[in-house]
Amino acid sequence: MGKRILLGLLVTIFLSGCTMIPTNIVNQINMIQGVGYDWAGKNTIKGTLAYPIYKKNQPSTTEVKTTLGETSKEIRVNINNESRYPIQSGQLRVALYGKSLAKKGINDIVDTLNRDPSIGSTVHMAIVDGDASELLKMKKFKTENVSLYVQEMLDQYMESARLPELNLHTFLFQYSQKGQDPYLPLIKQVEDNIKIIGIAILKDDRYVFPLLMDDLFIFKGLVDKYKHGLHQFKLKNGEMVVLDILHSKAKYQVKIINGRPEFTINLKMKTRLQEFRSPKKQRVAINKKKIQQEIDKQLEGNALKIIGKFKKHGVDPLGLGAKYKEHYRGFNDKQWKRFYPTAKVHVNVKVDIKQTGTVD
Amino acid sequence: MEVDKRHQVSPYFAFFIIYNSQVGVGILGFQRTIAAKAGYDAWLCVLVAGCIVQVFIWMMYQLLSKADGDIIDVHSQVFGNFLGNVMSFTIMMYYWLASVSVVLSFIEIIQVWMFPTLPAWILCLMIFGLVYYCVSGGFRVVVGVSFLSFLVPQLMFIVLYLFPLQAAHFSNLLPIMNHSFRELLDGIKSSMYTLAGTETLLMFYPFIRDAKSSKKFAHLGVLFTTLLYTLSSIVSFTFYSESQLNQTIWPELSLTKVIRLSYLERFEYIFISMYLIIVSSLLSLLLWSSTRGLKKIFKKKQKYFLIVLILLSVVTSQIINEEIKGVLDKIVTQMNLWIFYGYIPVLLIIFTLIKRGKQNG
Repeated sequence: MGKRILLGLLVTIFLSGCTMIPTNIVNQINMIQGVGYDWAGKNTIKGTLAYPIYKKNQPSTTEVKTTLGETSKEIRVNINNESRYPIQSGQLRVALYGKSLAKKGINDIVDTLNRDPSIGSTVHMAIVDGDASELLKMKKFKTENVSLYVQEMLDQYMESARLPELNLHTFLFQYSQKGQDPYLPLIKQVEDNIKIIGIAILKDDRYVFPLLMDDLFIFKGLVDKYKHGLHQFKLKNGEMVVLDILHSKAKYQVKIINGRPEFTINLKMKTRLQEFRSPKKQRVAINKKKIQQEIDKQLEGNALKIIGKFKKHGVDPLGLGAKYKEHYRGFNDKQWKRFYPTAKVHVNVKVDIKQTGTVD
Repeated sequence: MEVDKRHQVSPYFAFFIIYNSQVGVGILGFQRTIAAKAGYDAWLCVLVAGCIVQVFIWMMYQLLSKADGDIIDVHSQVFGNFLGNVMSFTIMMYYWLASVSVVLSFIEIIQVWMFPTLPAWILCLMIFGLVYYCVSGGFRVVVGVSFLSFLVPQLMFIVLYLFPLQAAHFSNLLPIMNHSFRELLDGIKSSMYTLAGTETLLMFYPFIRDAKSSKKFAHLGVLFTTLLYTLSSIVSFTFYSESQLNQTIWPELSLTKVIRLSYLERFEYIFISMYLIIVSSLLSLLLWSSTRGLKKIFKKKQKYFLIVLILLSVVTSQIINEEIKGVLDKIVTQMNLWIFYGYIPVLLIIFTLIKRGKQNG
């Protein structure tokens, strides 16, 4: 008898426990998939949330709402009082930051993404050249899901082209790593299209300058590994060569000479030739060695150019400081900042054309 | 005192019991604690601490095989009945306090990550319901759960390290040995606590058939957990930057946030739920040890002590706040350090001398 009463008690307790566990039924919540933040002046932020609306027997639509607030959660609260269902952030895919806000610093707003356990760390982040809320509100995406569109676009471009692998985790890593500055994808609304236009170089968490498409090719080579990626080179004699990168790897060497660090970056690329055009209007045999050497020189020049630009602005997206710290036990942040603008960096690129396709 | 053969387990199970006793909630957050002490050299500290635990295991085996019983037999042979029982009671209380500290940490994780509004006592009751079921089944059931917790969640979790390793920055670990001896020593000290738990051997030793031959399995168990903790700290160290790790309360849980499968966007919910198996098997082992000891000390049924301790734990979980929890954790850490790494070696020496004296006399 006593055992039965105990069992009954336990069952009641467990069942009442179940009602205390909050439930989220999928068509009774608004799942935010994209957020955008812009600077609205006077310490306020213009926040935009995009969430899909599912209806019976109808294609889903995207609802985009904007309000002002001082923190990102205040924005959420403000939008909550005009939405039909409670707002949940567990399905967040992209976080966009307007250029105006990025210039002031984005760390305070990124903090909540990191703090909220329901948000994954593979959320994509991007800086918008223009207004993030305008981009999320684009007419074209009224029936299509703008957040998923941006997410997949960035994913695709990181996988197969010139954007290095970037997401919330990499941002937090680069931001908090000593001797490294972060960078984020830069996107723009061009008429009624969304376009990736390059990379935004940040100093700490503030936008400094953009690195546009032409420089992006070598930049990814320096910071990440290529698996795919087409690039066109124009040689001096007017020949055009298009190479597809099969594999690339950059090795950083640090030497300390007279107490100052000196860096050598060895970049190796395995490629295959995809297209070749000669101005001579007739078939020319490919001179592999000559092409390789010329491309090496071009890329080295390009790399030195962007590194010079980084030094001029005092930003270090390549993480040279972090590399220096690995090799020098007495690393000192202040001293490094003094050394950086005049630090010597050598770049050796070695492009290897492995295949020329079915013809040579 | 002989234990009935029906209640004993084969020697090789010592591996699983030792593994289970060492791995608890600590592995989800120790990376940050040890990195705060010895920076990114701390993974070396884990290895060194593992070696110290090996020595400790050897000592316990020496002590217990001489007494041919558990710690209570040792105590009563050395100190006599009354004083011996007082000493044993302290150790039983340690097992219980350790179990409270484990369950509170796990409940905190569930509340932060999954159900922020769920009251602690409900979770506590649910977990302890499971634990009661295991412990009342006897030692063999406790061992069975240990074995399962190794097989199902643990081996799977090790495979999951592949995901964060894809984004690893191995150069983070450079330069190696960049910290002072003092800092490394501090790192070893706090790694010792994360590797703690082997002291349950003091209670379950007589329950292993042909106990002396289980020694190598116990050493293997410690080796496995040492390597597991080292691997886990290296994965965290290469995944986070140092100041990022400093802000992350549960680095191992945050690691699972990068896992994104096409059919499952957020993996950590499954991870935490699966972790319940590991936690409840650890709790079963701790509470089994504690109640087994109390049974021998007070000569009452084990079941009564189990119910009392569980009710006490549930009440504690409800009245406890951040401050008391901090104090509790501190007490458990200090007790672990002094009782097991300080007191047991001394006891071994005294016990050896007494035994030798008896032989000569």
